[in-house]
Amino acid sequence: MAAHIGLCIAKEFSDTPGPRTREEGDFSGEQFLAEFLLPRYQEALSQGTHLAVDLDGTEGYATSFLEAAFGELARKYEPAEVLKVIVFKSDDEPYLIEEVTKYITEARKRR
Amino acid sequence: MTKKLYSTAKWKRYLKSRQLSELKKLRRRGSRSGRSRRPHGRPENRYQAVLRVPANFSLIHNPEETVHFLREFSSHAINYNIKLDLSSVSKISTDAIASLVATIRSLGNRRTVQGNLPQDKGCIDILNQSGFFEHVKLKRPLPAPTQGRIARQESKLVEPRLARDLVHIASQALYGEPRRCQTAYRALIESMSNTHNHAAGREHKYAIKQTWYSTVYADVSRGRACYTFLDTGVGIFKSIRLRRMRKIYRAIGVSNNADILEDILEGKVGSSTGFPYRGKGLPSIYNLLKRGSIKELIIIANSVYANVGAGDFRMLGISFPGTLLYWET
Repeated sequence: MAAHIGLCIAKEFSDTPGPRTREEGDFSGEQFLAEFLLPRYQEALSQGTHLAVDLDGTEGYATSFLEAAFGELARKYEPAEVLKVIVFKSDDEPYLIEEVTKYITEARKRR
Repeated sequence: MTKKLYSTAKWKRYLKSRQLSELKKLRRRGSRSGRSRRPHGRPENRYQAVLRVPANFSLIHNPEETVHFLREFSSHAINYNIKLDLSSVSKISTDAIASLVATIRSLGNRRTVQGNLPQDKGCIDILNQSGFFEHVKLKRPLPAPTQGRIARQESKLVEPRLARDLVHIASQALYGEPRRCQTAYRALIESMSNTHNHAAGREHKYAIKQTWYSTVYADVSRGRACYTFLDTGVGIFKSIRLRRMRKIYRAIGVSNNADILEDILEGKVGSSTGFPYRGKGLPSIYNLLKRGSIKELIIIANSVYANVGAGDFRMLGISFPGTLLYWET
């Protein structure tokens, strides 16, 4: 699979990602998932390509934003499949890739 | 024709004696008026209590005396206007300044708060640069602050734009241009989210708009940006959901809230929502400290003081009303 579909959070969504839910404030993970991540992921799935998510260029990310977006995606689709389709880029803060990967793999974990 | 009853000599004597008696009562009341009559009307007509601000006015370095002062301030403000004596303040930090602003603002228009300036010029500079005088009127205006800001929000919302602005104020002062700092931004957003989710407590979660303060101060001499996040809600320990055994341990004194805070930071205490993937806010700030992205992390919540980097978790002899997070980048 070649990386055909891209998604740059800073350029396409916001350079100031916010909280978990829309109710909590602007630019939430819930909003990002519904308006950008989910449609692009489905597009990548249907085309059989990768989705390249660029995490660089923002002011930063709260854990709740990342979990609400990528963790929730992994609760809708199989975590292993999500990890196969999405390719992350994070040169500003490389630890974010490890963090997001953890949210995806642990998304369905029960107490 | 008979005389009217109240015009007889007997009634005249009776009425005269009552008149004198009432006059005496009125005079007695008049002589005590300075002590007994309640002040009323405009707030400036109320009596004034003079409070001396601690010489080391800092929650992070002198928590007990500073919390005690803030509580004293609040209790005096129930009945009196306040005059703050800052003349002997020789050390001051922005966390205490933010708390003082929060305490003053909580009074609304019910009281007047006056005060003098510290004699120490460094303290005056920190007061000014922190943005204190944007919340408190000053007779002689000082130059506008360029190194800091105290932002007050009365909402339950997370404000990403405000977080960005605070980060940029600090970087502008430190580096001469606004720069991104993902660490500080994350800590601010996590703190705001915590306030949204916990500060009002479980019972009032959807009823109360919480007031919170986020502040930044660029300490140019040390090359550090100092952030304080203060919410005046119920505090961490009244809003978390503990397991039964932990409640028992706390009740019988085997563990205390300082131990519980350590566990919260380590991610060992589950979210009050019950979802395993929630409740990562404070642990993520702690991870930033462990990674070295944050230089100092101090948390004061209810009666717990934690200098997390130094491993100093302890109970205070006095309870802080709310939660305060302080960190430096």
